[in-house]
Amino acid sequence: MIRMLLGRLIQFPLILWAIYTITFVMIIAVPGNPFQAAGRKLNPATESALRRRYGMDDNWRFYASYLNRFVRGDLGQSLQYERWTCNEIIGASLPVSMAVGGAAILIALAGGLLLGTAGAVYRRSLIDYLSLAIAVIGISVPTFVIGAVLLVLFSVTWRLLPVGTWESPVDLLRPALALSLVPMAYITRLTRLGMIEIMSSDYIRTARAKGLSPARVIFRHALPNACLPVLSYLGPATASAMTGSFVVERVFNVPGLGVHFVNSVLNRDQMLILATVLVYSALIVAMNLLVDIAYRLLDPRMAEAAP
Amino acid sequence: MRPITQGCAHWPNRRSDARRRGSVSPAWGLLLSGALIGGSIWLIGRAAPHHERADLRLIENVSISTVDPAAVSQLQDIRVAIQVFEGLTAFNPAGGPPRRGCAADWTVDESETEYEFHLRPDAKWSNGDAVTARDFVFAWRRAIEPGTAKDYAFLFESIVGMKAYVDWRHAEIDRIAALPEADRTAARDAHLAEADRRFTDTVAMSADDRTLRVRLMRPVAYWLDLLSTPVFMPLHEATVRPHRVLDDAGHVFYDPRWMRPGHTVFNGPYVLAGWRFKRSLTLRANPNYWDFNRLAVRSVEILDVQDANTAWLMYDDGRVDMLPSVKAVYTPELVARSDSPFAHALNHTAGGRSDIHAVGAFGTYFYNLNCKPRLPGGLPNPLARPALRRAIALAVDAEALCRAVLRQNEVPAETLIPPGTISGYPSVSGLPFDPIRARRELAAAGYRSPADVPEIVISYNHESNHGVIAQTVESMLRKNLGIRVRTEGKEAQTFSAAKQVQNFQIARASWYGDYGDPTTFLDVFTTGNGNNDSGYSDPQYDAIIRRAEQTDDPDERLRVLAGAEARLVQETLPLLPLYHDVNVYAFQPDRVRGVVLNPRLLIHYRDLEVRR
Repeated sequence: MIRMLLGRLIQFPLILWAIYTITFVMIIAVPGNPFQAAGRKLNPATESALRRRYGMDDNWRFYASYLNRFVRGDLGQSLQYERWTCNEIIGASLPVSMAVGGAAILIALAGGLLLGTAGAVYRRSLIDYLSLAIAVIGISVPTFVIGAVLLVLFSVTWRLLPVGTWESPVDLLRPALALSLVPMAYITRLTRLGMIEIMSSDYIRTARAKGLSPARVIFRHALPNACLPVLSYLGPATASAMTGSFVVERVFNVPGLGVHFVNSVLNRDQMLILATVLVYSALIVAMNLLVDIAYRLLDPRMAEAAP
Repeated sequence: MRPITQGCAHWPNRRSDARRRGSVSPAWGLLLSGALIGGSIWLIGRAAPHHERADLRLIENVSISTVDPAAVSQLQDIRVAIQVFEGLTAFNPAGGPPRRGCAADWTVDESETEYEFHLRPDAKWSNGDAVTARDFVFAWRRAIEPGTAKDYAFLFESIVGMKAYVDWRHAEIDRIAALPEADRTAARDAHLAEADRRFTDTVAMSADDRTLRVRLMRPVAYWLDLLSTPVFMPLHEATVRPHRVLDDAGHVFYDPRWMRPGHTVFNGPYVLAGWRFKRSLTLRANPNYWDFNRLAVRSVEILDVQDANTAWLMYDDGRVDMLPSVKAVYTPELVARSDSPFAHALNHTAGGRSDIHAVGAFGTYFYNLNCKPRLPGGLPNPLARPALRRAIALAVDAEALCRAVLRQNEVPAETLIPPGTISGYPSVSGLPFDPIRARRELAAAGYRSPADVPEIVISYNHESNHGVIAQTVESMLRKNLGIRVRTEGKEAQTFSAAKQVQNFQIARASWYGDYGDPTTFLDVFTTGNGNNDSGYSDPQYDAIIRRAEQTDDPDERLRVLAGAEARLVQETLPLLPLYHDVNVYAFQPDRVRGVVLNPRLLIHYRDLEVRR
């Protein structure tokens, strides 16, 4: 376990560096100009002054200076929103996205485990088809449709919740619900598959034979093993849910991080692109590490295997 | 009784293990979920402001990016800048000459080049300091300094000595940047000391506490109108200057933190009270403003809502008082069923909603037709022939485009300048929709049949309704002219990069005027203008513009300029005018009172009164 942790800690900066390099090459290769807003043409003298100011007049220097900044915890300056640094932008929007994403994952986990288990236990019953239907809807209906439907239902048809506010914890509900459907669908399918396999294994038959209640067999003995695949899915899913979603944030007017993934690229806001990509990657790597640790705790065989 | 361990790794094989796991996992699960939910609620609670409803709430679809007068150039930023700063004059929404702003009165000499402005004695900054003429000199000089100079720095070039000063600064910066690194700082400091002297000596501006004198190179008919635009607004030197940052070559930058709420002071009717990224910007009445007692709206909250449909739902739900621009997908339907009580709104359907107001804007949507003889790839450019450009303009039915596709009461365009938006300017007419004449022009261009014309590509950026418009024009050209046409959508930045090097045949464009004079539109098509994307270079056109510059009589000058526009839209056609833009406002006129709709799309919140 400790060896694994150490190994991961060494890998961590290497992975980030590789991602940084690839992203950097791409933002340099793509046409466009971060200093050119729509409309009027930028004066070349102004542009070269700005490039000098941000150390972007030379690609190699930019590459080295941004890496240096990043190591010191400075994510750079947004070129589109001159008034804000990337640290301020991410500092303001990441907590929002984490709150929404965290709630979405909890909803997905609760719903997915329940539906998946029910589907496996009552195979080919109405409830199994229902869980299948939810999974199909969750995977195939895009979030902008789900978001719009939720918005219309809650705010226009039933008039339960206001539109577009971000003032009370209730405002978390709809974006979290909209975001939870995709992971819920995956978790449902993974759980159902795992449960079907586990439920036919020997030790479950033994557990039944020794007279344990069905609930105890399912929840205590079968589910923890059946949801190991869910666990490995959960790492990247949590990271991606917590970094926000462009569509959901737009529809519900959530001031999260998701919009910056898209807008920074559209604006060629180079430092903000690097900042969002690096923060997202760091989160994914960290989540995967957490998953690995959880794996080892849940499955002793993993601990015995070499790291 | 011991369970079998083989094959079921998870099965607890020791009592202690079972107890540990049995007691731990649900508890941990609960704790973790609790922590996550609690954390979420805490985060959102922390993020939510303590709400106290502002007198006026409205929504901007595009984030406000700056309130720095030197940098402000987009509409949503201008709309904030004119509330927090006040120039010598102020924009007049009713049209006509600008209002008095910080200047109580002014005199101008016979040559119409020497202005003397007298500041009102009660003009104050929000911290109580008097606004002095030196604050204007500080702000104006800051706005042209290399590094801080942005889109509108060129407007200062009509002040005597300004252009020479800026050119000299750039030359010196280039010289210093070429020096070895060790020598640069000393050279820069010497240069900046010299720059201070030079600016005072050569730029024709002088100021004491209350009086500002400015000498222009030539009479500028729209000078007083220019002074109401953000770039000419004053700054409080004592609070802004400490944020100055110099680079080693002598560029002058300002740490943008100077404009954080609380860091700087304002001289407009409102001060910036709060600004939260991608959420909202709040304004509060400035108690030191000379007209403070007449302000009915004491606080304004501008919400940042990117999604236009969500913005509309918020307005319709009564959460905001006003949408300065309705961009929801169903806006045409809203406009079609609405009845604005404002006489010069464009939508009047008896019995419809009274809170939708479509107004003609000071902007035109057009296509740039590439005038260069060859495309960047070396291929000959068929559009270099003016007769083909005329044929294209004659074959497009702008009225059908507005009526059937756009449907927001856009005004079909034949010209570049929206008719009736500049007082005293005699609008010209352009080429009508006339397919028969279009075919004749095609023959005049040297094509015996339409099939001889190489395929023409219309490029546009993938945003808004540009794609639908391009397809409409494509089908009109095919049908009415018989030529081969293709449309090509591009990502915005890629499109703009291609456009600037004339790597296109027909490209989407639009232009909004900055001040109330035809040159704000016509200058774009002069040779070498940075925004002249069509690559149009016509000595005769440039000569007409120069002649207008030298014409003293204002009416005669406008007539000369009309001649220049006529040349553009009747003969040489570097552009294909499509429609004059429309902006759709949403507000209840009996609740939000005092709005004067105008083509520049600006509202002084100090003129308003909101009733609930």
